[in-house]
Amino acid sequence: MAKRAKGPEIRTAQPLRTAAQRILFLLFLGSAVALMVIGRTDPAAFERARSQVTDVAAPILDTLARPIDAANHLVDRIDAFANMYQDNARLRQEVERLQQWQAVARNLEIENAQMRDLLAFQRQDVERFVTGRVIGTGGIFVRALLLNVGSQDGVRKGQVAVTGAGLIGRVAEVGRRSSRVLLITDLNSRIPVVIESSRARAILAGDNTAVPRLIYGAANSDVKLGQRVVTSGDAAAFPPGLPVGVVSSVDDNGIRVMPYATSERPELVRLMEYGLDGILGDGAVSFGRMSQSD
Amino acid sequence: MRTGLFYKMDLFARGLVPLLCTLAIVVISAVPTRLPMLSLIAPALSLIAVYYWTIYRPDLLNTFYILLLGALQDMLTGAPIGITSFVLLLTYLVVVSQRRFFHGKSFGVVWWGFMLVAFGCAVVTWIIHVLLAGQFIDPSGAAFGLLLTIMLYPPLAALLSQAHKAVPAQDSDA
Repeated sequence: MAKRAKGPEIRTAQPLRTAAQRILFLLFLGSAVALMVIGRTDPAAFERARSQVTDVAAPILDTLARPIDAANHLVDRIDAFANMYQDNARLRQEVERLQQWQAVARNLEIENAQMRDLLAFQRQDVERFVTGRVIGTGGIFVRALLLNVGSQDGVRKGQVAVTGAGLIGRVAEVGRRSSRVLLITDLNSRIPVVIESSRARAILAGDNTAVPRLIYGAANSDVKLGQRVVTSGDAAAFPPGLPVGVVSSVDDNGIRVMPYATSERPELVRLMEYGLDGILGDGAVSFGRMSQSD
Repeated sequence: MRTGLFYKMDLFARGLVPLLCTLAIVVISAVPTRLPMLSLIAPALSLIAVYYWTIYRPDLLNTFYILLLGALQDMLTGAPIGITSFVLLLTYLVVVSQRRFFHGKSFGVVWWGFMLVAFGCAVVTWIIHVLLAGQFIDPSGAAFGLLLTIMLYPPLAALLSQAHKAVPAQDSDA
């Protein structure tokens, strides 16, 4: 404030306005602080305002995102054309490998069906899908995606968001025609996972970097590089067995997982309604500090 | 003095240019670019607009607008509401006190001033996020975001100076 007093000529030009502006400035700065404090203590306070704003902005963002998508498709096509020969050879190999897997999967499917018949097994399955286009992103400190689908399309809070590669997050906010997906890399994301080969359980905790950490693992020592990490279905928050990522580093700083799905920015995201919505009532997933407020 | 209704309406409409430019920038900065590099870093485009208009027309992009635009950006990106408002208002405070220094200076000087302001904003934003989250956040994403913001200042400022031509001159101002 000392700097402002430097120019007396400004104040003589508009004395009243400057004095009033000063008071207003402090008022507004105080409001900004108040907003942060309220949002910190009660994360749900601005949820409605937020989803109303994103609802209004959704059609605009949708329109703006389309040319970017079109440009990306063009780049992809040129890229694909340039790499056609290598891609072809690689894909032939992959087809061969996958055909073997297909044979294995068919056998297992039959075996599974027979065993299910024996057990009269009731499966809690994914009930339906909603597919949304990504029309907005978070900032440096928020790992989130804004989608162009909302409650009118059947999106519900807590739904699981996946791309073809695997889990990316879950729905944290729902407006009428927009919704926000909290990515697994976000600070507030906590996901129950299991190491596929060892069945060791842990929580995948986002920390704003591209590679979230595994915490609360029962025995950290037997986790090895390259092991697959899938959702555990604990707490019925996620369908079990969704691919999440691979263990990318194990050292003194902890275990980190490279997600399958966040290496590139998705254009379309699939939201899955998972049968058990037991613990995921309102407030189970929200922006702000859900981990502390629970 | 100036009494014509149409003159006043025209003046009012053209006076809204700084607000509308900044609003457009806030909305555009929420649009996903899908560039692989940008998946973890995002430039603070609204900071560029606030810096520019605070130097040249602080009367037209006033502190109330800055409060609202900041809150809008936080709502769109999903950040805790108030952080961007707070940082942009601080920017206004610092820049408005020094704005006459930048008048008539070369673009390089104004850009250099922006680098200092953007650095300060990045540090303050990072600190607030760490305090609100209650845990350490890797600052490298913010550092890359800062670099990108500084790199994007010249092209965006060039666009803003085009829009500036539509803004009516202020008689009491430089």
